[in-house]
Amino acid sequence: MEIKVERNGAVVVVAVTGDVDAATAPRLREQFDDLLGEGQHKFVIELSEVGFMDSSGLATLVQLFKRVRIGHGDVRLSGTQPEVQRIFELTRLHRVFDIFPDRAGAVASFD
Amino acid sequence: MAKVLRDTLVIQSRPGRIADARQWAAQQTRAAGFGEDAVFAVELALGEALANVVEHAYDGDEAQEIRLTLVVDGEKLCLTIRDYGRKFDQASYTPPDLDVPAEGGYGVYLMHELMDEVTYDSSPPEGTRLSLVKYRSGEVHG
Repeated sequence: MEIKVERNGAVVVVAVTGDVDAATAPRLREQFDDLLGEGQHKFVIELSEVGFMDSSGLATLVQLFKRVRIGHGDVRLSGTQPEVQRIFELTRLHRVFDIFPDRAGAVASFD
Repeated sequence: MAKVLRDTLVIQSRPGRIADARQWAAQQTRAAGFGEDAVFAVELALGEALANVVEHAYDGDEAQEIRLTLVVDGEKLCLTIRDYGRKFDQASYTPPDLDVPAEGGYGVYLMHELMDEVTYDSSPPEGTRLSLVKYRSGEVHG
């Protein structure tokens, strides 16, 4: 799994590539911890290059969501592939996260 | 009579080996003629099962062994996950409340959603034998 961080004004885009599972989710959590430590609270998680995510990945995103909500921030997702989208639907987390087709739309949604 | 396929894989209880096991199961499921929906289900259900074994049955001890057996016949695919650690307590399991986003607890729920049968056998003296079954008919009837 690879993680790239881009800052677009007040919005931080975390672009993930590869599988997000029990082995890799801890690294994503550490990245989120670092960004939260900087005071970031508007997140776009770009998932177009993620072909597999398990419940460890879901848990990591929900944890981030709950933490940014305390500071009135938000976590928005972009580019979910069909199999990843299905996991969100099975767990009904697609009702919790706003999911956009692409990162530009997700970033613009914070304006 | 349909040909019976059988394969086994033994992995160490490390999170980094879970992806290898998932890929092995996906390849076998695809080779047995199941569609991509079933491949996805087997891959994800196995990943969740193994993550639970690594974290809960073995408490993160990476030196332990997990034995996987996959048997496919004309009717179904059966994937057995055998560990020798702490037994899974079925009585303590409660499904997640899907109206409240949670930071955990989706793994066993997803296994049940994705597979046709999920059976925990705690009768061995040590550990648990978890069986995940997918029927071929599920491909037709969804």
